[in-house]
Amino acid sequence: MTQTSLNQGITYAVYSDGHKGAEQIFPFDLFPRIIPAPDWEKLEKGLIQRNLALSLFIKDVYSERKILKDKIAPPALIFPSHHYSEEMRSIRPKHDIYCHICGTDLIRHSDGNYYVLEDNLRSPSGVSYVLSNRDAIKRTLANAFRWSSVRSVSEYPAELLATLQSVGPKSEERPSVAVLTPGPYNSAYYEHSFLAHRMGVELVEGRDLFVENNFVYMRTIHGPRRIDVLYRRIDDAFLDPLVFRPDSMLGVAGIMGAYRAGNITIVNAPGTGVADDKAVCSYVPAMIRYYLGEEPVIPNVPTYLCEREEDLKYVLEHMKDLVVKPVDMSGGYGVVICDRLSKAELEEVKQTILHDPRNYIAQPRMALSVHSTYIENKGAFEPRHIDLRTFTLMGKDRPYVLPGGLSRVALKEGSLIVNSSQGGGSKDTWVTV
Amino acid sequence: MTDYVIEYRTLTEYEKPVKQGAYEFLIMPCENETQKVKHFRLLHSMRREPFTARNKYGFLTHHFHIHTEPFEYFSLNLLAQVAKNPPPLDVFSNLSAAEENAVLGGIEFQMDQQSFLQVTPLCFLGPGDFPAEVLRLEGENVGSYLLRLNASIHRLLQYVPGITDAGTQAKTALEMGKGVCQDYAHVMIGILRPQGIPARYVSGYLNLSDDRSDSQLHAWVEALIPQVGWRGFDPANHLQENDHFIKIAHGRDYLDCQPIKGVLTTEGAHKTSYEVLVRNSMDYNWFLQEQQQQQQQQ
Amino acid sequence: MLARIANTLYWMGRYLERTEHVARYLRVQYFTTQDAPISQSREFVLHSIVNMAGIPWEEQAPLEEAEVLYRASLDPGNPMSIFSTIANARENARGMRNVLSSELWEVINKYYHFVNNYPVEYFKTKGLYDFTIAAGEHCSLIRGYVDSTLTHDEVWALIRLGIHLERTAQIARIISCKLYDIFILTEGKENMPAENYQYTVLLKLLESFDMNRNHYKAPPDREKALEFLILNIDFPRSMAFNLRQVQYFLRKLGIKDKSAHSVGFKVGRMCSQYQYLLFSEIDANVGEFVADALNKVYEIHDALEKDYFHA
Repeated sequence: MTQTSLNQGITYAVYSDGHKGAEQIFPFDLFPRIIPAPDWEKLEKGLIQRNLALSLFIKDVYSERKILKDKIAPPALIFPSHHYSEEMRSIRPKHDIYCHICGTDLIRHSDGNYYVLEDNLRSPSGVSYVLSNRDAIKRTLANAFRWSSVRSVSEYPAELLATLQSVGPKSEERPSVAVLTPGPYNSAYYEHSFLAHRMGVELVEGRDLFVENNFVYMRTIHGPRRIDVLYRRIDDAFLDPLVFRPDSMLGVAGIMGAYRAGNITIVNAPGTGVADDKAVCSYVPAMIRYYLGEEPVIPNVPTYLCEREEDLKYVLEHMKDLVVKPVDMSGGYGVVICDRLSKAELEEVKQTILHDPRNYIAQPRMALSVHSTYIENKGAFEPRHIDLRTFTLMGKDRPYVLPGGLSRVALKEGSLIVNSSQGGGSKDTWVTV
Repeated sequence: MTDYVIEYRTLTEYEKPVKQGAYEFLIMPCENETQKVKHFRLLHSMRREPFTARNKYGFLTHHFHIHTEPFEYFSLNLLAQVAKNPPPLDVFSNLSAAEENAVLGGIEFQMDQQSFLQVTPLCFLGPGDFPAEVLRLEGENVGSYLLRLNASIHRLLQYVPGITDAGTQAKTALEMGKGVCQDYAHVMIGILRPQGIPARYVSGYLNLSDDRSDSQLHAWVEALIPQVGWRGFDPANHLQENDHFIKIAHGRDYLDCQPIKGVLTTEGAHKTSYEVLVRNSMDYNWFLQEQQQQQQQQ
Repeated sequence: MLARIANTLYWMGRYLERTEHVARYLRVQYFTTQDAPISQSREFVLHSIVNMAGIPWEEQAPLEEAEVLYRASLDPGNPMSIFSTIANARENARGMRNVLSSELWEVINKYYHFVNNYPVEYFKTKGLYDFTIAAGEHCSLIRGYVDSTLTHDEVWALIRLGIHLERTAQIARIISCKLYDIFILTEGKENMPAENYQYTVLLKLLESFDMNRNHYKAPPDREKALEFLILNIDFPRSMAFNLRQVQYFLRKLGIKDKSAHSVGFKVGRMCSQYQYLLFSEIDANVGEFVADALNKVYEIHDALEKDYFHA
């Protein structure tokens, strides 16, 4: 399997010290994870519910702030966040959709239930692996399985394109769509190029775009072509050097003005990161009750917010049973699994938390589900921890959840961190019909 | 009503040709209850006309996005005739200090005004950075406090042109005891916001009554007084906003009100000069004359 | 097609084509000195190479053979070397992998690794022939994959546009260099055998010797060599042929001949001129003619970059 992947060039460059952007293969394990149809039906319902509540929450934060005025969530949760965007105070995205693409991470507890670990609302990645994994497994195991009994994932690019087209700035026209990438040196460039290619849309870099009269254009050999919907895979801070980081070479000067004028749709909307924060995540069940008047279908992993005094006290007293995470980092960076630490290291973590409690949460070291995984250097199947990255799309009146998702495996024995950037691997995920 | 003619001139010369550039100007006087732009003219050295956009607080910006013809200099002149009515000077509400506090402390109020209550890095001040007497006293009305604070800040800093720059923080200016209008404004904001009084940074043009010409844009502060509304204070001159103040825009701090922002591709250095002129058009009707001349030429 | 992508593909074609001509020039110039009818000094040949490959060399410094060959071929420090050029081509291809066939990418990559891994010491002592022949073969292989594994669409047309524009320029440069060599050699005096030999070398520098003989059925001389390389419309290493190809690929890309300053107009004008030109008309000042043609090719390139690639 490793050989197939290498030739196809499915890679994931890792940010770490040493030489930047080294291409690393994302290991793929053949043994699939199977989710029975009834389980999936419930998850699908829960993920859409969650996405709706999150979009309503983000809209509320940037407009009336009812949830804060009604004291359901504390303002201290929102405004100090790096991802809060003052720009969005004066912008209403088309159809009030903020998180068109959401990657929610689930785990399955030893009690058999699924819990939400976190939501990724900025640029969730990994969907290209789901599609490539499926292609690879079909090739390899063509005869061993009856494909009619597993739900297909291949319609994802078409669904994504339809989602993007449904939120075009002028409803009556078919909008032109492009994918904005930071370029080939980005760790997820493969995915950017994969998605653009499968959707049949242009893959652009910031330098291909310019703004004139509050419209966004790309430079082609036949002159400027207008872009209506931009699926951007760069962070907010890099979007517009006139508004955010002035040193950004990746963005487009003036794009926020075009967005405010209603001439382009940016996907996901800037400022959605405010709900992506791990501390905010713990309020999602409350949001679901508040905005939708429903009970959450999928519960959260219990989360202790260190900024709350009683939670902080609990965290400091029960460090050994907990996993501590910074609220605003992704990719598994900064995660501390406390029972692995020496006394001195524990003390250090405690001091770090006390220095800036707002920045940390803790979660019980929930027994992540374990699953048989083929371990290459041992030549045997062994149990490994896995989680599930799901992909939810929200266009105008068209919610969609990719059946299955990316099961990520911690390949190191006993490791709990499954992120590809931290040496995790992946598995195909089968939802039965 | 007073009529002003405002001129904003800038010239930037580049050592090497600029291949691509995007500029955003925030220099046009805004329109509100007390001021109206009667005419304006924008002259510049670029081959294409600018387009306008709105910034996040709704203020008008002019954009030049150049990506075809390289250029070696960029000059821009804004000439605007503005009619200004005296803004209200009343700062006293009919509320008691306790009632004012109830308004300021309300979650509705705080959430609606959050943009101008959140401290930014440029105006951050710690409790030890300023003398305690500049804080609001118990029982002191917001209006009286603002007048007192305006005077205190005027005394705290000495006006020294060129001593600070666009990135100077309120804390640094206070430590030096020196600064320009922008620093006075940041200090005042840094003191007001943590006390729950919404304050915003204002950029604009100031007509100086004497013959002195202020060659820079001016900066002052607007604070929100319960029941009364937003009122302007100029701690640099120890004035309340009056009909000599012509506002361009407001924001959280200087960064939201930068008159020129540019992103460009060039290799060499550059040199920029600015000039700001404010004239009472009753005294100087050259503006009209010039306009007539221009029409004749056309 | 995005202007940036177009520019990258076009340059990929140009870079690939360029390496082949530089490699061949090194080999032919170097090895024809071995059996020349009149002795060509080493110094003379090295000067010619320095000239053609655009190697920066101090005016008065003596030319050291191994060093000249190294700088022209494997030197990563020389932006004009074969190594730097193929590295650029590969870098361009790397960013374009989603529009190229993987087979094409692989042969480009293979060429790069061949040059990158070529042992420098071996090259300096005995590898020149082997290296330059292989470079030419890699280029042919790549062109084969360009034509046989890509859809003949805009991507393909842009690579081919780059190849033919570069080839036109390289033919002109090689003719210019050789005319200069001949001028130096003969010092203005009549020396038919030496001169005719140099025209044979010129044809070999462009792998045109055999086809020239087939065409004229007579040994080459000045007129036959230059007419063939400049004006022959059917021979793929003539300027006229390649200009027509450039015109063909511009049309394929939908780049129309409109105003007098347009790329299409410039190319079209050159093509028509070459089609109805007699060698006798340019015979007297062929050096100027070729130099002027080279300038026009560079103008075409500039207009392309400015109007279509926005580079």
